[in-house]
Amino acid sequence: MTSKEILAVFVKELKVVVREKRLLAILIMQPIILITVFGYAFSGEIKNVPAAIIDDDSSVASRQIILAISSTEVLDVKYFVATTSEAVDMIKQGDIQVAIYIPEGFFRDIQSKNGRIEVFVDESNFNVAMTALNLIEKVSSSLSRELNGGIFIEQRYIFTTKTRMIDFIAPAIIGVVIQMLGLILSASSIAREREEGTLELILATPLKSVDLIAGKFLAITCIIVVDIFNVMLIAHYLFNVEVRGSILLLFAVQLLFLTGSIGLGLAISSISATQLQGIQASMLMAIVSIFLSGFFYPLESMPEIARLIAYFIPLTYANLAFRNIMIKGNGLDIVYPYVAVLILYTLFTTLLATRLLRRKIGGVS
Amino acid sequence: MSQAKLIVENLTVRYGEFLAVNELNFQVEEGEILGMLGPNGAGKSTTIKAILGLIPFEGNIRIAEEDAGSMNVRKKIGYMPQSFSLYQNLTVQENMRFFAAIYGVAKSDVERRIDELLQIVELERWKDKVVKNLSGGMKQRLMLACSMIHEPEIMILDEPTAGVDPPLRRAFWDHFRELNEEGKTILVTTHYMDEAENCHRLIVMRNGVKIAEGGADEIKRRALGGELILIDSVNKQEVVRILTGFGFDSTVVEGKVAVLAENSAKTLPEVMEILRKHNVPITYAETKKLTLEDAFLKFIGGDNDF
Repeated sequence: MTSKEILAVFVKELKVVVREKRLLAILIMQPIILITVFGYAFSGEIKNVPAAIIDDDSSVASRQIILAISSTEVLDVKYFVATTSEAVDMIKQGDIQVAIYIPEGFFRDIQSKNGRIEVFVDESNFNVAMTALNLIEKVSSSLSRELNGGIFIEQRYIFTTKTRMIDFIAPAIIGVVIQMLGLILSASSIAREREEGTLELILATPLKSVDLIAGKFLAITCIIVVDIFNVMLIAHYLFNVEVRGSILLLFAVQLLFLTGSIGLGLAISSISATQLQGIQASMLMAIVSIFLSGFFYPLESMPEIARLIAYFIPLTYANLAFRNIMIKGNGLDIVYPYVAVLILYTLFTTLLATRLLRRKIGGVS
Repeated sequence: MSQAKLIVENLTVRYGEFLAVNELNFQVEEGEILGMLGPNGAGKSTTIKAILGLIPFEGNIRIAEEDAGSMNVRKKIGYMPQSFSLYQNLTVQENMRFFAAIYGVAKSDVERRIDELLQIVELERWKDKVVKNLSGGMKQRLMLACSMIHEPEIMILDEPTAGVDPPLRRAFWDHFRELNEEGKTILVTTHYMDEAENCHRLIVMRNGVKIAEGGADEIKRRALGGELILIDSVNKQEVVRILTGFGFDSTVVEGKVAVLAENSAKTLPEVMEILRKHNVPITYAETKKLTLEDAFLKFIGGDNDF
């Protein structure tokens, strides 16, 4: 391997893709659209958030607060419970996301401008917590104006490990983006050179096929890494999806899966006659993978036959690894079986690609 | 005595059952322009692919004393393929830089080399233009420039002037001759007979087999087994009878008596002398110059293998 040649292929490949405006638009926009659409669809509008109230005061003021809160659409007061610990348990179990505790003497304390409300929120859903707190703040400040008193809100965050749909789907979107775009880019890459005749020209030069593949591989990796960052940033800043485990581990597994996908793409590319064929074959792979890899539902809730197929789809293992790292915060000690499968997949596809490309190079065009 | 730059020995290429090239033998001497002629499907491009090491073959190919296909040999060959094949999205300069890099041209030489070549093919003004916006002729010139970026010892040009207008074709051949005068060895395939006349030697191929080899004049002579003398007379049959009696190969073709001669210029006075002695009135006589096209058509149309 010679770095100068790899660099030349790398720079050329990046320029070719970046100047292909339509391809570039797909590459940049597709992941952004995917995560945004799923984000809005599954993080939902904040409405009817289940809530519980612990009213130890049972005064005019506490009843007024409860009435004001119940009359909005934001919170749905489902339960009245006796103790705060009971309410906290309910948050942990995911029955409710917000609990409001009105302590004894609340009405009396308002008049001495020292009224106090405790609000317990589920921190795993930051948007919901903020919206609920804002609402309670608004309601209590209007009440304190009315009574010419003062109410102070205490915020208590409850840490839960429960997941929203978007938390579950975001890791899978990253998997799909890596697989689909990695496949499409690499599948069209060799085929494009063949269609434009540049492959024959390159093969007549002293450029080694290893260098050609390495240069292409690096360029595709670069582009997809930009996509991965886009998806992760949008997921985090727009939809509060968090990475609880090691970001480095996550990135390493993403790169591993990307390498495998590019290998598969190059293999497809070397046996398909045209760019279009290459892209169609990759799309088929991608679609089958999305439906059968547990994109929407956990593997356990899939029918047995579908689950059996899922075990043969690399995306399944990528999703499992990503979810474990992102949602559960697990480390390599837990995800190593999935990583092992992905390593096998990557070895297989890259070896296959190199062999097929070598043979193609020697074959009849 | 010049030495062979390219030696092709018993080259056979099979595509499955199909024999694309069959037991082909030829050499290109150093500093020579060798033209390959033949109809489509004759095996010209296949032969070139074998020389470039792009396809598996049987037989021996030696380029500058080395086996075909090795990385070292590839550096010595400048290849210009039949159809346009450069990166359409890159500029003229970027394409040249890319090929300079993968041919391993030293970094310090690259820019100087690019400027030199762009000047030769008259593309300096278009250095920063994206290739897809260039005209067909400019693209073709750029391909030639790219194929020479690494100062190859031997140029292999596969129909370099296909689809190129006549003035540019002439300019191309001027380039080729200049390159050749600088010492480059050139192997070129073509369909144009006037271009073939520019080659030092020619080989004619048909169905994967070499059917003729030699200089343009030699090829023409061998096409008919000699040269022609055309004679017009009121009594053509008499002329044929007399000449046949003297051992000449003659027939009536298209209203004239055609006489086959090894060297028409030498034979014409002799024939005239015979006919005058027999008192046959002659209205017209000439030595007929065969065009290479006549010879070519005769070769590829006929069944006789040479």
